[in-house]
Amino acid sequence: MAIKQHDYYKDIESVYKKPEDYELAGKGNAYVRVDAEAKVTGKAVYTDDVDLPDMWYCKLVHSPYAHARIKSIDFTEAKKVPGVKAFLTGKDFPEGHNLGNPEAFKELADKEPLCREKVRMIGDEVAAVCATTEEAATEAALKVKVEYEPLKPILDPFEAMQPDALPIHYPDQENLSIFTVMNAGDPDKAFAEADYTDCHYYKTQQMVHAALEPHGAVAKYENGEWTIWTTTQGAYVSRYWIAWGLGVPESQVRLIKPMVGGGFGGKLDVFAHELCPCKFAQMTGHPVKCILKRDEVFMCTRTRHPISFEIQSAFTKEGKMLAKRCIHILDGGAYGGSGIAANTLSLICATFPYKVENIDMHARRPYTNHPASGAMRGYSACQVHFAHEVHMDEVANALNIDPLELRRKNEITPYYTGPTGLEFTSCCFDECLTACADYIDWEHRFRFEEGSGEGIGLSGSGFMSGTGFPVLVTPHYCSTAAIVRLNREGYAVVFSGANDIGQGCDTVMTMIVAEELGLRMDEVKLVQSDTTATPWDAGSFGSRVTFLSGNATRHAVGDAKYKLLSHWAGEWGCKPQDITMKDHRVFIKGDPEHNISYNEACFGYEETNFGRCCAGVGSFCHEGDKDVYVKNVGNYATAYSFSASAAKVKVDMETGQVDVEDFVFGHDCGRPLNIRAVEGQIEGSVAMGLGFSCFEECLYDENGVILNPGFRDYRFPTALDMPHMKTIICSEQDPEGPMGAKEAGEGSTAPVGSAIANAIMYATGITLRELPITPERLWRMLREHEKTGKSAFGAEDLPDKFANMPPLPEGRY
Amino acid sequence: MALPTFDYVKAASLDEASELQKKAGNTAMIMAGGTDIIPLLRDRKRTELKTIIDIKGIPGLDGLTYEEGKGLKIGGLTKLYTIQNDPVVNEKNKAVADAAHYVASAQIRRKGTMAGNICNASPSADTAPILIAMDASVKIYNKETGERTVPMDDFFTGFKKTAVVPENGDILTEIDIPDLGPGEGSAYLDHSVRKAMDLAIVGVAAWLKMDGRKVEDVRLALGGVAITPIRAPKAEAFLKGKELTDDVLEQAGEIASGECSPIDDVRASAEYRTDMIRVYTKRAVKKAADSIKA
Repeated sequence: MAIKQHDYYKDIESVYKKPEDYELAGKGNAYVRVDAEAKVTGKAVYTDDVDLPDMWYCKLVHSPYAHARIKSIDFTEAKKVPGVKAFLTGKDFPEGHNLGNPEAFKELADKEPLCREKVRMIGDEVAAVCATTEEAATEAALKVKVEYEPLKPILDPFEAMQPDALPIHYPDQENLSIFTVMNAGDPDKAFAEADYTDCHYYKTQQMVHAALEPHGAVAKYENGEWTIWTTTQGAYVSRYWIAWGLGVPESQVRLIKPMVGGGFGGKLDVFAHELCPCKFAQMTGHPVKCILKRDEVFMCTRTRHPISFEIQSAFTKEGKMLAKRCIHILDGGAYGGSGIAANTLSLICATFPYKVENIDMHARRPYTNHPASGAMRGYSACQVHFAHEVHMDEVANALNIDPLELRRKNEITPYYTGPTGLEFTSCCFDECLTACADYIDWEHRFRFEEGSGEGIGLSGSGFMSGTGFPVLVTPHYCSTAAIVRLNREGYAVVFSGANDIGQGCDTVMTMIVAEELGLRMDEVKLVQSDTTATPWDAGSFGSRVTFLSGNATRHAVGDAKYKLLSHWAGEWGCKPQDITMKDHRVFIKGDPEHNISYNEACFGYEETNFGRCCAGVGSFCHEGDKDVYVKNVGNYATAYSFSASAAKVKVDMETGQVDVEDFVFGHDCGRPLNIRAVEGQIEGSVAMGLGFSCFEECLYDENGVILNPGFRDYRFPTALDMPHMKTIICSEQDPEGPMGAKEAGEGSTAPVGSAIANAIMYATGITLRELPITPERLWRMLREHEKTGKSAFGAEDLPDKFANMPPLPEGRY
Repeated sequence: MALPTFDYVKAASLDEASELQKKAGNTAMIMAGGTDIIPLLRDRKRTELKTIIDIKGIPGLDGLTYEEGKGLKIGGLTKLYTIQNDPVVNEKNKAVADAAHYVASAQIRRKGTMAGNICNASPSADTAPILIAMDASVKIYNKETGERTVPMDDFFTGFKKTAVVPENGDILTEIDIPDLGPGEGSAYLDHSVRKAMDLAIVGVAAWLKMDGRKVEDVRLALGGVAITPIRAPKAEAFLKGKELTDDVLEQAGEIASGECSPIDDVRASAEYRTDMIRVYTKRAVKKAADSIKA
């Protein structure tokens, strides 16, 4: 396309408020969340709060085997439970209409709404029951008899890739759901010329999102159309897959996203608990609800990929990074879904926040019989920045260079273009690193003797701000759109497709409109994430909402504003840019003759337009394409955020318990539109990062049965375990971001685990290459260190496993 | 999972509850706070259960009193939260308040009782070790045989079994904890991954009577390392007559760790539990000694 987005929206952007005139954006306490009162008083409506007249209930029947063939399903006993009304099996859904995540890779969709012939993980859904009460549905689901022929479960991703491994899905695909290769420069030459080369192994564990709200859906079927209220991070994408799974046109499915109690990536995909109520609603004529219990959320939704890493690096003796060779093996679990993208993302993340011109990387995502891995806050970045940032300290120590200095020598600088085409723009990574180092007094880090039980560590990371990939196939790769209508009664309405999942984007979209129109926050009404009422949006993932939907909303309000101001410019004989909108008034500064209320301005516009209201439409496109996934070259996101963090830890050397006493986070998020929300995101990130580093792990027995599918034994840190936290925002405004903003919700999780792991390394004198660092694990390592002097622990099984890996298949991405 | 259906009976008197329970045998269960019963029902672990007998309506069971020289009397319905926050408990025997505080979460402690915590008889129940170390006793009511007193040393009779035999119509009505005399101190420490809202990997309670710098008498109780909470008699014998030097504490910990027989489970390995008994015995004895008022 000849014309660029900026040119297309040039007139509209010409009436945008200037940063010096902002009254809301970036002003600490200038406004509060639009949903604050509803949430703190318990009145906010979440999916489980949607109760419809004559509603029935759905329960799913899950596989007790990680890998088995379904021989028969018998509903005889279940039918006897009073109140039972209907049943479903895989055969009730159209064959071949499997569920996945990106439409652009529909051939990779691999999840049947209910399993037809085979189960691939514990908890895989084989049947569904509908009854008049939840209790009856529960009893009946327990009485459905399913006969299985158990198959050997494959739980090790390396075993899954072996040529003789039993196929989990397709006989001819080496159990790989996807693999990705990324090359640039001449790594062989760089390795040959380097003063320093190494090869280390790292490993991370499986985690769950543990969103407070469990997944669930309510569906009704009226007049040949379904309406579904569901716990989703992307109403449009969920609607697409639900319609596909049911085998009906998208025009007959309306999806409404109520309040969502946390997503963290776990609510991106479409699941059986959404398809089955739809089918039952059609069969019975009753609305049907299905809310998962916590153990079902653990088993049947999504987890964070465990990743095994082989990292080889080449440096000069002065510490310049010359090249990286790495292999990432992601345990994909039983299905693809949003996990497909995690593979490529793991490589992209490994190319920053440091400049490395020569790379030779690949990532494979084998299927196993673990629960399906998917997106999780930091989408591969947490695992990658754990491994690569612990590795940075190992390099620094080997080269005898201060780890902070090694990072600063190699850090990405503003407007750097990476070897695979990532186009960095604003970048305050150096400011983040130095702010954290200053706060934690890095200069005097040897005040804690190595091995004394106390120590400090730091790390850095980067993340995409505004993943451009729109998931569904869209015109001009459009990610998101918005509509703004100005009302002569003194308010404006924004129709936003952006999906608030608790992160606060409703507030951001409202604020952007209020700021541009000079209205109060409560004079902007929001209609959000309903496929009938709001325009297209790809969803809440990839740190894209503020950046992309924020820009779309600003284009929409700008469009309306430009129309309104053009009208008054004609009346007043000036340019639209000469007119200001502020304090509910429309005026030329210093000119009392030309000063009217917002209501009068809208009324006057409609007066000369035959009553037609003033409305604006906006969109935002990342001008890329899916080649970034297929060929792994090109720019992935509209901007990139950068972070650094540093931790002070105290280790109980007898028990292995780690106390993170102080934590500092430096984040480059451009202009923070809502400082309280940014701080909240960062503090939440530290909690999740602490869980990742020292607490959380899904544990399995040899049959693939999860041993801790609940909050009693899957321990995430609670308030008492949290460190004292300091957040430092180190930013300049981003040229492309809405009002200069970049992301603040995901990249902020990435450097936490490695900062804590590095701090523990200095506190204990042992290098930790595997997560989580639980008290018992650390206790074991400390004892072995004392007995044998061994000083690096974790991932001991990986050198052999990597050495015995089959070669990469050819010809497929 | 949704709860299965069951009959709910709210007993008005101990006699009614005892009679109902005896009649129903293992198909009924006494409920106080309900924090252990509800998960049992939900997880279908006791499918024979048909009736829940709620004793919360029985008057006189929620007391918490202290008498100089005699100690604390804690009613069968007294909430853990009440015990944790009671100023007299905190002043007279802080280890008891600490043990109550370690149990589960604030929400659970507002419902759950200490009596229920020990009747549930989890090997790692946080309130059991301190009651054993304090040589506490419990009162058990039975409509047919009347009231009897059982010392805590005899309370736990097997895995998830206690001196309270529900099928006979037994109901635990009171816990009596002797007062700390001059030269006596107590402590309870729980080791868990999280600082709160966690099950104990191990728990160690210590009671000490000092004669000057020397240990005159001592009781140690260990949780989470055998099928019931247990005493550590060899470590106790070792400590008697000794001064509590670092070396003596270290040796006591070693001896205690040899007296337990923990299992591997999802929360910790037997090996780790054993070593944590060493560490926490040492720390609990030290803390008990430090608690003795000068």
